[in-house]
This record gives sequence, structure tokens and C-alpha cells, in this order.
Amino acid sequence: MFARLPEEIILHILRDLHPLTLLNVSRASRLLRRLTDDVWRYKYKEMGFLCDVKSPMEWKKYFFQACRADPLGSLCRGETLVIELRHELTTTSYDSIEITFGHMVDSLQKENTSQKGLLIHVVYRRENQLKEEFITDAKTPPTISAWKKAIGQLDHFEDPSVETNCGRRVLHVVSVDMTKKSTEVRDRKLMTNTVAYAQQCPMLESRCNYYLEKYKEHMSRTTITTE
Amino acid sequence: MASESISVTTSDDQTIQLSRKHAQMSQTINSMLEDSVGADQEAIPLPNVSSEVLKKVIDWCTHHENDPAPVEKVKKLNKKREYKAKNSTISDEWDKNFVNAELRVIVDILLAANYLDVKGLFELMCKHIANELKGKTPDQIRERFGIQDDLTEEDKAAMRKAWGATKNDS
Repeated sequence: MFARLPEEIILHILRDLHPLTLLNVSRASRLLRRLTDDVWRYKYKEMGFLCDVKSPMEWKKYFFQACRADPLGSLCRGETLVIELRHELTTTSYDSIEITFGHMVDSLQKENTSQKGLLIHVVYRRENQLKEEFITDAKTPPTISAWKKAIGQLDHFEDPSVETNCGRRVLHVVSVDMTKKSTEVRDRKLMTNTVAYAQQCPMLESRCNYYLEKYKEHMSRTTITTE
Repeated sequence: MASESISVTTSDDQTIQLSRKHAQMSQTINSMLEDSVGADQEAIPLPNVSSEVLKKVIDWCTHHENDPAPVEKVKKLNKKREYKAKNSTISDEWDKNFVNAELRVIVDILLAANYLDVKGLFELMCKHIANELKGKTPDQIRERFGIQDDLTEEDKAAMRKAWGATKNDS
């Protein structure tokens, strides 16, 4: 049937599908795989990333997919990446981790005005309740260990109860909260934010280093002013 | 004064009369009408639409003739840009019966709606096909839509590596 339809019509049909449906469609044929790839790219750009997690370990793989799709790479200073892990999409109760890059804290600003470092603000919520919150000073440039520290919090999601209790969960990477975007760097993409997740995922190591290099380049050209 | 009915010739050489109101629900026919103002009123050729399918399209236009004109929605990025599933429910009972047809017919109507540029009908057909895809495994999708599995073992291995295996992997 799809062979009779022009590709632009198939794309029109596919582009509003739920990502989980899209995943199954992509596995049906080569044509559909190619077209769903286009839709993924569109969705990543516009709406972040969403996928089904079938085991506690699997979320990392999907998170890696999200990194490849680059919601992190397109974050600006002051933007927040929200990763939600839900039992069902319809539930209002879920675990989440919010990562804000370039978050500034007043006291640190006063103490460290010469540094004006880039800070990573991490908020981890379990069942919508604040469980942990901390700020990592990434300074200039951020060290691998600082990124690891920030992203290490994601390991909370490896709680075995995730599998025991529900079997399948949904990882939802909401792209970014633009409301926190700082104006002075609005048009400058800080390419720092692909996480040092290389700790457990060697495939990310080179990418991580790539972004850190970009970040160094950026910082050598830019003075970030505090808000 | 413009005639109240329009003649069109279908791909199987049938000449069919349709009301001006229904004709104007098709942007394609509408443009042809505007281009031919003052010219001899000959039947408009529709070489990509058969009489059987055109009758279906007219049925749909008749049911929806009093609907408000579709408004082009300008996509705005939400501030939070969260994923929101588009409403895919077909709420109109008449439409539900209308799409309850063989897949071949559905595709014919979809292609006709695309060619004739009847937006509401096009969206309805797309929505119906999208709904047919929901909740199906790759195997079921192939079976329902008559798709040949042309993925190689390498393709499948690559997808499993990228996305993880599912119990429905074939």
C-alpha cells in the first residue's frame, strides 16, 4: 500500500505518530525505516525524545539515542533539559531529572565574579518530589569529573524496583525549557553540554571530548557576563 | 451568472456533474475554475481520479459542505516544547463509517484528496491510516498494509543495536 503513496504523503501520516508507534513502523520495511528516520530528526528538533524503556539498564541506551539526536548539543546556557521517566505517558507522577547549564547562584557570582563559571544545576525528583538537588561548578573549562558528577545522578534510575514494579517505563526527554534562556547568549550555542556520560558508555567518550573541545574554543573567544 | 453545477471528466472517461459548492471544496478544481472565467464551460479533466473514487469524494463533500473552512494553523513552538500527541480520534460517526472501507479504496481516496486538494478529506484519510498503524508490531504492520519485509539481517541487527530488541522483533 505504501508503495502507491508519494513519500511526502507517507511522511505526513508518520509525523504525528506516537514515537513508540513510529519505532514499530520503522522496523517494517526499508522505505519506512528511511522515512521514519526523517521524522525522528524532525521530532528530536521540535519535541525532544521519547521512548519505551523495558528494563532498568535500557534507559541508558535510549538516553544515548537522545544525545545523538542532540537535544543536549543544542542547549544554550540557561536552558534546562528535563528527562522524565514515567510508568505510563498518561500518569502525572514520574521521576525526573532536570539539568540546567549555566545556572548562576547569587552567592557564587559575588564570590567568583572573576570566574563567571558555567554551572550545572541538577535537580532529581522521585515521584515528583524533590529528592536531590545540587550545583556543579563546571568552571572553565568543565572537567570530565564535573560532568560525571552531574550526570552520575542519572544512576538513580537504575533502581531495580523500576523493573520489579512496572516492567516497562517511558523515558521522556523533554527538549528544553526556553524560559530560562539568558538573553546575552541567546544566539550562541554553548557546545559544552553533551555529558561526560562516557563513564559507562565508551561510545560517548569521543563525542564528549568533542564538545569539551568546542567548549574550550568557545570560552577562549567569549566572556560570559553574569545576569 | 456562474453555473450552479460543474462538469468534470474522470480518468475512466465518465462525465460527472457536481455542484459549484462541492467543486469549490477542491482547491485544484477551484483554481481551474478561476483560470477559466469567461472561457467556454467545458468539462474539467481529472485524469488522476476515477469515477468510483470521485463519487466517494463527492459523498464526503456533501456531508461536510457546511463545515467551516479549514484554517491553516501556524505552528508555534510551545515555550516548553513538550511532546504532545496530536488528537487522532475520528469523532464524526459518518466519517467513521466512511473510512470503514478496503485499504485499496482508502488509498485511492487519499490520493484523490491529495490531487484535488481537499484538505479535510486528506487529513481524515491520513488520520485513519495513522490509527491503523497504532499498537501494531512490525509484523502486524506488514500484514495489514501488504508490505514486503525487505530488511536484511544486517539492517535488523543495526536496529537492534540502536534501539534494543523487542519481544516482537522479527
